[in-house]
Amino acid sequence: MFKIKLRPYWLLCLAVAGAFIGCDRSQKGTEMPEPDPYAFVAPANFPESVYRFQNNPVTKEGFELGRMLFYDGRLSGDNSVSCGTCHRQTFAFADHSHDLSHGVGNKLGNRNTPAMANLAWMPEFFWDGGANHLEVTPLNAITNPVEMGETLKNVIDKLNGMPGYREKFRAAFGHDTINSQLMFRAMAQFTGLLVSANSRYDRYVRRENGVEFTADEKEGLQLFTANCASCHATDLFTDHSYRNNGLDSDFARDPGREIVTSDPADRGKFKVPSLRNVALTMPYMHNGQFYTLRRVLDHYASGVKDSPTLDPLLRQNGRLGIPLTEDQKTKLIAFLNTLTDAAFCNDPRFRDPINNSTDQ
Amino acid sequence: MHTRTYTNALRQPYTVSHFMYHVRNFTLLKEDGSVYKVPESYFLIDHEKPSSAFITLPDIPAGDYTGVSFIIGVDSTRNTPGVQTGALDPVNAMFWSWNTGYIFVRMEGNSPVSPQPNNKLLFHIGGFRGADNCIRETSPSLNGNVLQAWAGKSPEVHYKADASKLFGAPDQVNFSVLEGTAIHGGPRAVQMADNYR
Ligand code: HEC
Ligand code: HEC
Repeated sequence: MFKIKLRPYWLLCLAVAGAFIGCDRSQKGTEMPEPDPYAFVAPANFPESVYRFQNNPVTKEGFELGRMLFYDGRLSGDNSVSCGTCHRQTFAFADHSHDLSHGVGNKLGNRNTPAMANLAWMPEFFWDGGANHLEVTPLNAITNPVEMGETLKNVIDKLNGMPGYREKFRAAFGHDTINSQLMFRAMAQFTGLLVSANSRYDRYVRRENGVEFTADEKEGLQLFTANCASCHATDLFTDHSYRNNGLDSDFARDPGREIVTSDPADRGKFKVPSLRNVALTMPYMHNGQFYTLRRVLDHYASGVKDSPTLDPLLRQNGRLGIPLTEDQKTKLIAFLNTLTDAAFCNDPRFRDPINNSTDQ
Repeated sequence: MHTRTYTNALRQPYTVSHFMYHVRNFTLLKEDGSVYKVPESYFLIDHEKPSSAFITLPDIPAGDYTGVSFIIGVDSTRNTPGVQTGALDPVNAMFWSWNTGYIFVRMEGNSPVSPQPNNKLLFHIGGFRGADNCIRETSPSLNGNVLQAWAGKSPEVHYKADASKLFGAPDQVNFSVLEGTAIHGGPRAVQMADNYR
């Protein structure tokens, strides 16, 4: 049962007093020291970003706080697993050691940990697009029993109990009562600034410092444009759509996008992943089923499985998949290797500030 | 709440451990036929927190009101802009992390006929997109009463939120089959949403 009470307005002076207090408060607000802006720079060869930090202007303090939270195991149920446990900078924030994610109490998740780069350009997140906003992406990992296994309420209570964190929230946002919105915004300042656009490919297309491609890389790029770029589109290497690329014939284990939309036409469809840093982000696919790029190309050439939702691009002229010779595969791999951004994977700004190493 | 046993329309007994829901956008109908819309405000009613079940609507224009309607569920525009505060703070555990959006009505409990482990019942009703939309407006009858809201007078309306209505009509929920015991949005939730309209 619940009840409502209608309270009519009747005291004009009260409203005036309210306005006066409001005024006073805003004056106090302007006395707060403004933290320095921390630049989010969109690379010249990228489209406009989706997340624009409008309600969440990046500051050095906010970014560093977000980074600290990202690497802090206390966000998990047994204080052992942080975001950085699965998302490792050395591997472009993917995870090598497990084909399926690996969380608290050594529990295995259902899916392969994706790489993280250029998240500010993504309209939706996760292999099935289940998260619709950058700020909400950490929630699933925190509360998932096979990932970090903690409740959001406990995380916020733990943070409020730590004076060091309260001080950092005050420096970043002007107040030290921590709520979930501030925590998620700090984390989005960190994850949103993970911009990878300094690979040899980028410098080649931006014609920087006379960077040239080898003959194989050039041919690989042409093969890629002809066979792959309709899905792995633009310099983000994804068109952000959900597609079935023929990994299974019934998708009983993981129906993918259908989980989110309840639409059988979406069965077996998964987000087209970006291929940035792809040479570092094995294993591949939502279920981590391939360990090398060669195996991925073998799949496209001769392993595609038919099903009613298979993408039409992979069923052309009565043939499944994309015909590729071994030589063409070698050239495609040469091209995919140019997408590795070493500066990104070694950027000291993104490093674990607690253990101060990129690989642990 | 935990100890009381209720029965659904199919006479299956059940107990309730959690019962929470989002209400918003109260609209008041005046005796003269005019309408006052209370500025958008969200309330999360949690039957384990008695204080949450007492909503005060301030600054109502004086008058005699003969009808009240409100919306159950969170507007689509509030399901997409990231993390919010207050009644919409994800800390309230009324927010899906695997399919971003709010749970509008959350009812959990047990029924001896449920085939789930520990005879669980779990109904998470929400969804704001297209065919999955579970947002419903409702105007429970005031049984002819007039709410006289005049200076110094603050009338109250007491609503009886009956969990059994959720399982009654038009969509009868059968606790003895799996698909009648655990719902996380989707087409079944949409059918149940018509029960709270
Ligand atoms: C146990 C390993 C694990 C941990 C810990 C973990 N993640 Fe993830 N992360 C994953 C997996 C697996 C996915 C893919 C989920 C899916 O598709 O359902 C993912 C997906 C993501 C994505 C979406 C990427 C994309 O391309 O769609 C973001 C962003 C992300 N995680 C951020 C975080 C943050 C922030 C944390 C810490 C709060 C975190 N993760 C902790 C395994 C993990
Ligand atoms: C019809 C659209 C489509 C085409 C064409 C396509 N892909 Fe994909 N690709 C996908 C989808 C969807 C996935 C993710 C599938 C999954 O995990 O279920 C994917 C995954 C991948 C992955 C794994 C990435 C990772 O991080 O796990 C690689 C590598 C890849 N594709 C390379 C290629 C190459 C090279 C080509 C061209 C020969 C190509 N793709 C053509 C849709 C496509």
